[in-house]
Amino acid sequence: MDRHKVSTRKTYNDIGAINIKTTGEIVFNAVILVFAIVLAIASLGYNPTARLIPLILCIILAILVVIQIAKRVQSIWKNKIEDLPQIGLVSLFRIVLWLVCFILALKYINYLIVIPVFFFLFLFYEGRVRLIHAVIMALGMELFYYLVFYQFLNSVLPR
Amino acid sequence: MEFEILNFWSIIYLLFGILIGLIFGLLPGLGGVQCLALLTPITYALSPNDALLLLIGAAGAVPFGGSVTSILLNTPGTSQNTATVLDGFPMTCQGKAGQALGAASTASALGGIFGAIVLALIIPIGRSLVMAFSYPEYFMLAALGLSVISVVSEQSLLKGFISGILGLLFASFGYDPVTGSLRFSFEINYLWQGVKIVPVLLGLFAIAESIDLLQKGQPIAVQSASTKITGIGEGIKSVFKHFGLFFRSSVMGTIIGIIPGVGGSVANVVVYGFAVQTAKEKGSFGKGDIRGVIAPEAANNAKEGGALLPTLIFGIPGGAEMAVLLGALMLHGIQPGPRMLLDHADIVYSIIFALLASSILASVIGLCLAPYAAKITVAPVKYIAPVVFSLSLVGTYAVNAETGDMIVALIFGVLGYFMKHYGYSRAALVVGLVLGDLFQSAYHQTIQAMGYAGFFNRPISIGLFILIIALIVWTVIRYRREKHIMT
Repeated sequence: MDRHKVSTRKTYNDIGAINIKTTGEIVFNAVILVFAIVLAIASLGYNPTARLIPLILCIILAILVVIQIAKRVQSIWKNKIEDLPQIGLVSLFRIVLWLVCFILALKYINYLIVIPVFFFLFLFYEGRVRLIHAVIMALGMELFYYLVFYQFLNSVLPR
Repeated sequence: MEFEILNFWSIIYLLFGILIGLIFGLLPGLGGVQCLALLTPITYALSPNDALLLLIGAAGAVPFGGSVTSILLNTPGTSQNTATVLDGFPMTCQGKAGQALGAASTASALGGIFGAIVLALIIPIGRSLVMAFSYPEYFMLAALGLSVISVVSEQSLLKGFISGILGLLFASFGYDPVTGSLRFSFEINYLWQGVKIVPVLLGLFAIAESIDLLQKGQPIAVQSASTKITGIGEGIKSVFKHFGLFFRSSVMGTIIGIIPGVGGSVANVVVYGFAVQTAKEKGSFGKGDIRGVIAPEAANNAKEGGALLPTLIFGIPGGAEMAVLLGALMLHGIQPGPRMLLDHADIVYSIIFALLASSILASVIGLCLAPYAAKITVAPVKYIAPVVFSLSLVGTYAVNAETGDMIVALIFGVLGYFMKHYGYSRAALVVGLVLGDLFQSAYHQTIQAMGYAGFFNRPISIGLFILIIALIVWTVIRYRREKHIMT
C-alpha cells in the first residue's frame, strides 16, 4: 500500500513537471476528438445515404484519436516523454494576428494600398530589418503586384 | 479553315502561351483553369490556329511552373503539384534544389512528350478506352490513391490515419454529390461549396511552413551546399536512371487523364503513392527522394495528353481546364466530338504538336531560370515569409474573389503548423481531401447502379482491386522484413 502511495506521488510529481509540449499534443488530439463528435452528431440529421460515409469516418476518427490520447497519457505515466519540438505560442499568435489584419484590410481597402503598408510594417516590426530595406521591399512588392495582379489579372482581383 | 503550325506568328503565340502558363503556375492559387479562362477573351481576335497554340501552350506549361514553387518554397503553385512538395521541398532543405528542379523539368518534358505521343496513337481506339471506366473503376482508383496514406505517414501510422480521415471528412463538407444534401455547412454560406483544395494546400504547406521558418529565423535551405546551385545535370540524369519509374508514372498519368472528371490533383497523388508502394527502398520517400519528384511530375504532364482524348473525341472535358479549352474551341467554331478526327484531323494534330512543343519549351525555359530561382532558398526568411503570406492569401482570393478562401487558408495554416509540430502527416490530410469526393460519390453511384456486385464483376475494377490488395500485402511484408533486419 505504502509502495503504491509512493509510486503514485512520484508519478504525480512527474506529471506536474511534464513537458508542456506533450500536454499540447493531448489538447490538439482533444480538439480533433471534439471535432469528430460534433460532425457525428450533425450527420445524424442527414439523409441516410448522405451521412453513411461521414458517420463511419467520424466514429473511426474518434476511436483512433482516443487511442492516440491513451498512448500519450501512458507515455507520461511511464515517464517516457518524446522530445517534441518547442511551439512558440506567443510568436504564432503574433504572426496569425498580422495575417488576420492583412485579410481584414484586403476585404475593406484597395489591395494596392494594403500590400506596401503590410510589407513595410511586417518587415520593420516583425522582421526587424532596416527602415530603408523595408521601404525598398514594400515599393518593390507594390510594383510587382501592380504589374502582375492589377495590369495583367485585373479582372478577378479586389480593387 | 486552314491550320498552319510552323509559321513565325504561330511560334510567337505558342511561346507567349508558355510564358503565361509558367507565370500562372508559379503564382500560388492560380492554375490552368484561371490561366485559360483569362486567356480565352484574348483569343477572340486571333485565328483558330493561333488561339489553339496560345491556349495549349499555356495549359502545357502550368504544371511545371507550379512545380518550381513546390520545390523551392513548399508552396504548390497549383493543386496538381501537391505530391511534388512531399519530396521536392525536403530536397531544397538539403541544398539539392538544383537537382530537384533538373529532375522535375526533365520528367515534365518527357512526360508531356509521352502523353502527346500516346494521344496521337490512341485517338483511333480512344472511344472504347474512355467507355471502359465507370463508377466501380473510379472507386477503385480512389481507393488505390488512399492506400498511399500508410506510406506518407511521417512518424506514426496511427497519426497518418487520423490525418487521412480528417481529410476525407473535410471532403464531405458542402453538397453531397449523390443526394444533393447539404452537409456540415453549420449555416455558413461559404461552406455550401465545401472545403476547397487550393486554400487548404496553401495553408497547410505555404503558410504553415513560413510561420515555422519565421520562428526559427533560418533560410529555407540550411545546408551550405545550397548557396551554390548545382546538381541540375544530376537531376536530369536521375530521370534516365529511374526510367522505369518515369515510364510507369507517365502511363498512369495518361490513363488517369483519359478518365473524365478525375483531375490532375488526383493523378499527382495516385501516381506518387504508386511510386512509393512499388519502390524497392521506400524509407527515404517524404524526406527528399528524387523519385518522389520524378513520378508526380511525369504524371502531371503526361496527364495533359490523356485529358485531351475525351475532350476531342466525345466533347467531354477530362477536367476543369479541358472544360475551359472546350469552350474556347467552340468559340472558334470548332466542335469537338466523334467526327473531329475525320473532319478536322489538322486541328487534332495541331493540338498534339502544341502540347509537345509546350512541354519541351516550358522545361527548357524553366531549367534556364532554375539557377536563379533556386537562390530564393538561401534568402533570409524575414524577406521571404511576407512574400509567401501575401502571395498565398491574395492568390487564393484571386481564384474566386471570396474572403472565405483566405480565412480557410489561414485556418489550415495554423492547423498545418500544429500538425507539423506534433508529427501528423499533412500529406495524408491532402490525399484524403483530394480523393474524398471521388471515393464517396463513386461508392454510392456504384451501389445505386450496380449493387455491391458492381465492384467485382468488371475486369478493370477487379484488376484495380487485386492491385490494391497486392500493394497492401507487399507493403506489410516489406515493413516486417525491414523491421526484422533493423532488429
